[in-house]
Amino acid sequence: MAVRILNWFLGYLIIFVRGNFPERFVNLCTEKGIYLWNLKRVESGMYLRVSPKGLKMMKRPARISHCHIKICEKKGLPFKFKKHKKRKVLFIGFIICAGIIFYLGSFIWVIRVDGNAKITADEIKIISETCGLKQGVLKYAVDPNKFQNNAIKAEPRLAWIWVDVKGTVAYVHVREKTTAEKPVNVKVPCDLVASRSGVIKSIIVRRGNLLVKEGDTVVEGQVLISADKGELTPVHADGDILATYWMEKKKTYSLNREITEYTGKERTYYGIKKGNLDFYIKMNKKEPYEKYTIEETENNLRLWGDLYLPIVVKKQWYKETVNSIERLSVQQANVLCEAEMTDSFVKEIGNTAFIKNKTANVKEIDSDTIEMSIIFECEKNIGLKRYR
Amino acid sequence: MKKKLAEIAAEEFEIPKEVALDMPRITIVGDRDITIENSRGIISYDDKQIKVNTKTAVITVKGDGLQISCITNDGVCISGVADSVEFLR
Repeated sequence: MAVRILNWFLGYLIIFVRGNFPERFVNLCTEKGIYLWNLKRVESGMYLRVSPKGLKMMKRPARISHCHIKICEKKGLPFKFKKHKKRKVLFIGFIICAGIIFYLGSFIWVIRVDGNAKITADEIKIISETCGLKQGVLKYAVDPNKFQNNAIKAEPRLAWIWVDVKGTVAYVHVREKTTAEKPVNVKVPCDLVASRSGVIKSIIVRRGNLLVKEGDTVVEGQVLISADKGELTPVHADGDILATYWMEKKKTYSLNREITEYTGKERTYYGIKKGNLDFYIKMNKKEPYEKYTIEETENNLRLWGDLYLPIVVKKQWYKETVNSIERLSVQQANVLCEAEMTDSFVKEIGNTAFIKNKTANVKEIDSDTIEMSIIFECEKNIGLKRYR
Repeated sequence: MKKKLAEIAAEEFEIPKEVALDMPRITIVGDRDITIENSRGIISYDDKQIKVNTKTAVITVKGDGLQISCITNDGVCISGVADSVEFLR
């Protein structure tokens, strides 16, 4: 298959060799290094395929073997071109087209950033701009080594940066520095106090004088591990004090839930963005539906692969919606409300504490609303260092 | 005698014989494709029988719908349904 395509691109000839011994002719040709393929023997001679270059070398073998060569067919791209040889404008058009693509393909149109966590992509783009990488810059002018040096000097939070130019896209790869935690100076005396009230569940003491025991109820600010140990010099108290505490949350929840549904009708508009030019192509300015949601996408115009053009094609969907009210049963409302409350509570406590248990109580206020109260039982390391 | 010595040497030094002695190397895929390397030209050719000259023997391929799909200075590719491959010394 690949060979056939290659042959088609290079062009080949189907020739007919007439004579008594075409085999001898073939042997003489191969001896001269001519490549022949698809040989077909018929009564009076032989059909074979050969490249145009090979045909020129065939004169002598034909004379020696007393064979006559007749060209039957010319196939391939070069012969197709020959047909259109007089159409000069077509060729000029081809060349101009290729030139424009090459010209536009030699600029950077899109910058993509990956590997960043704390530094935003926009910040990195601004840094890149100061280091000579921005939209519309010639891609051959971007020197990754120089860029790397300048960018790391400009932004101290960067550990490593590299730019890969593929087509018209510059991929900026970034690795950020991770700052090490400050080492704790254990020579400075401090107490460990309770950061909040609770009942102590477990204790690990690394240093200091323990003042509480398991099962004790402590209040916020109470000293748990003291720095003083008899008459010795005060130490840097350290340890893990795990305490249980309870929190109650309340929320009212309506049984009538408003839901938005798509009717399935939608309308699509296309638009173009290039510099100051920014518009949608709309036939009538009126809004198409009474209630609707809009979704938008923006894409750089792409020729193929990574070859992007500096024109953004926008697409907008208007989707018609209908509002309706759904009546929930009490059980459904309970489940939904509990899930919502748990989610918001987990967000509130973060990763410093975790929920051990929860008990929910539901009260029906009227026919349309319920009130839910949940008591969350949480566990947390309440030890907090207080320096003297 | 000289030839035999070369053959012994090739065997002893584990050199492939198609390289050392210019013997034909024939590859047959099923009964469809036959490739003969180290050939020295074709002697006769039609769709029932192809005779290929090599250094050691004349190789006759018999079959149906035989066709030379490509030919170079030192190799012949034959396609078609083959019935037999004979050596004529």
